[in-house]
Amino acid sequence: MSIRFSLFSFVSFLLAAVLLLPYVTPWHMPAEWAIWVPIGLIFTTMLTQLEATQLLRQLAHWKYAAQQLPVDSATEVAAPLPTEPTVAPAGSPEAVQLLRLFQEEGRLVDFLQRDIQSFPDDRVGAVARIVHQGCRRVLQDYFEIVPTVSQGEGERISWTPSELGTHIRLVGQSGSSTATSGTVLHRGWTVQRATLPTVLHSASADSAAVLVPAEVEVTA
Amino acid sequence: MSTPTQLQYGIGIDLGTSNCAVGLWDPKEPSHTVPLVQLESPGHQVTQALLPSSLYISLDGELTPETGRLPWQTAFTGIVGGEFARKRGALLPERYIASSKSWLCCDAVDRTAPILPWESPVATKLSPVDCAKLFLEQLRESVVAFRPQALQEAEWVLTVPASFDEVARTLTVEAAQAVGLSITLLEEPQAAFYAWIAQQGDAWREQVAPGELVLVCDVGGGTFDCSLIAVGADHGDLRLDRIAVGPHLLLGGDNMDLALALSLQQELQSKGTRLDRWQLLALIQQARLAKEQLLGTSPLDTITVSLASKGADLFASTVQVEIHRQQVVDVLLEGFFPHVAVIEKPAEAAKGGVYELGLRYETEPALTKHLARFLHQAWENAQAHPEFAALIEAHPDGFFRPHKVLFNGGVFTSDSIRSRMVQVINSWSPEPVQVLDNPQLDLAVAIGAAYYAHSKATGEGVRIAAGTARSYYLGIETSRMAVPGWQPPLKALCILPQGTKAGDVQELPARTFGLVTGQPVTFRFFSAPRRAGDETGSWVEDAEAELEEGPSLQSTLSPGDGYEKGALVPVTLQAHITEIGTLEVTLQQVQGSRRWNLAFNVQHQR
Repeated sequence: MSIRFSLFSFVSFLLAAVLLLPYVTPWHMPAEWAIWVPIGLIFTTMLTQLEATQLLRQLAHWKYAAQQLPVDSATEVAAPLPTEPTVAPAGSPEAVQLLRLFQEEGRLVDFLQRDIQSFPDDRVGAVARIVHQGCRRVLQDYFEIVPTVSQGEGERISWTPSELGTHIRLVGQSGSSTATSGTVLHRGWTVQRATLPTVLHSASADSAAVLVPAEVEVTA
Repeated sequence: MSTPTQLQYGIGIDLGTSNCAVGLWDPKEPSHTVPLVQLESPGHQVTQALLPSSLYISLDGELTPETGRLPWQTAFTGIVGGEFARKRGALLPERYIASSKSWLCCDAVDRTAPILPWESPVATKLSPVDCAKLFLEQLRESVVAFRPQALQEAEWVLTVPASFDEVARTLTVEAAQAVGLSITLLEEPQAAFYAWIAQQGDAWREQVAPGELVLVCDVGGGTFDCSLIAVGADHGDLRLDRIAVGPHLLLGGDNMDLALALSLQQELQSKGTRLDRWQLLALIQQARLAKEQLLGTSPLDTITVSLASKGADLFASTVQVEIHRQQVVDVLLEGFFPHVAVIEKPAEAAKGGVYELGLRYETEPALTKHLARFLHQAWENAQAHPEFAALIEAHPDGFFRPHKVLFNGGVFTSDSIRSRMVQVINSWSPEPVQVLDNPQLDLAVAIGAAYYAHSKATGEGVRIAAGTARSYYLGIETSRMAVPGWQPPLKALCILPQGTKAGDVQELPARTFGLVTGQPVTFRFFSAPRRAGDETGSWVEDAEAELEEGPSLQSTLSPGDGYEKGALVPVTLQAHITEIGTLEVTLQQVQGSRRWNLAFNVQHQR
């Protein structure tokens, strides 16, 4: 977010300078630069849009987190305790936390950091079992993930305009712009519940960046 | 404590050998468990239905109060319980305490002394009782976080193995009281049966009939615990009596996982693949999953598992192991659940010689043999008591044949293990045994305990009548003429017969003891699991040969009203089972109203 923001400021500044300088200084914009003005405008507009999307996402996340607290189902056993929203250190602690869980349970970072091109499929397969078993456990323990739509692949489905873009994404042939039904190619996934471990204490910036510590054995 | 009318729901604590769970029974909502708060990793907390009964003594500086303290803890001791302890402890075994509950029932050690982690060089150690306190505190606070008024609004029940001895029960209650919990004890197999009743609703009455025997067979992570419940008729309704409990056996699912892992390791070694210790740890975990996948509802023939070592390069260190169903059948079914004749007895541990101090694991892994012996011993015991005459008549072959069986514990997730147990029990009887449905093998004890707690608070619902499984004795020195080189046998007086129910006071008014004030009074204390015929006041001629000795009972009598120090006070003896389920022995002044309680002296191990 911060990188994008500074880029946005920089481009806006340039654009403003190019447009305003002719009025306050004897400098005149060369004619061949004219093409860059609309491009700059489009670019800044896009960045502004991205900022807005980011903001909306964050709002939706807070709304979701707020909705998540009351647990209705009686068989629900992992009800989250109401806790204070934690202060985020630099970076994104949830992202680091999720990566930590995937690494500790399923060695995901070890796996992805390695170039696997040179290994035959059976070796990759053997390692994939470790990654799959552990990461799957993380998904099962901390998330409840269900298909977005109840229809199976290949089945017909219809939608309302408001679902388009959120629950339904058209691919391939879109048909007429008023089409409201089609065939499911992928059911999508929806997170019904996400209860990552509660952060008791926001670590200092340098320790928050430690995904997993080095493992060392005391030897004589 | 608040009056019973204020108690609205029941809380049931299953303080397990490998995992703890807490059930909540409120008539206004379906039964469920309480989410248990625990550390997942430094600085991270999770809530889940199970709290692993693991403790980890952290290294200096490894955790800070900020990263290691749970919300309610005012001070941070560096000792962590639950999920993080289980994961971390496996990697640093010298700082890891597992199965502390088994130590609570181990009379070879002082259970109040800091001895755990066993034989570890760490400076901070805990006693088995301390461990129980830590878990109970964590469970209590989790309940309070979930229901802030639970200490006032709920009746609390804590489960113990049916085979827990009176000292282990007393210590468990003391641990609960030390963390501010007033609890009643309930035997785990009974709790599992209550969970079945709770789940069936009124329909349970259709599923059992008077005259039937229900075997509750509970195989946990580290223990095998069983009980027999007799169904009877009482004024047109059914009554339930817990008539026998099995011995305390340290044999459970963990033994099975280890056995399977070691057998796989041996096979790999014979093919030239050596596992390092990290891979062996991974293999033990995989063995547990393999048990479920290869012996489950639609079992696979072979599964392939990969074992990683330490080091970031997974490709350099991963070993692949194929596990075949037949191997698992050979190791687990034939090793732990073999087909045996009902007369087959478990191999006894070698008597005499030098024992290594520590937990007494079973030398005989065949659970089916232990079960066969239990059914015989329960019968032999019942034979001595006229109350059981009708039952003995219905089972003329010298052992009890259960009509129904209720399995409990994670081991029975495997279909093949359940059906093997059924096959074996059926081979002992012409009538096939019926299996009672238990959908929550890991949580039934907690749920059942909560159901019982609610029923106890409100007086509604079914109750299983259960007296003491043992009879209790005091060793009495009798004056004899001295004969050089000959020690007269110690006689013992029965103070509480088997089957005594909570609240029944057994008095021995006929016998008066003279006690000296200001001096410690010590009685040698004995018990017996199979002397149903003894009554209060019965004598056993040779206590050391016929009974099992426990820790001594003692008290120091402070000089009472009108007595000088060193005076001889005539007293009578009373024994009873308290409402919370512990044994209490009291000395009652003959002329006067003073009473002294005798307490178990657990410091002096045998």
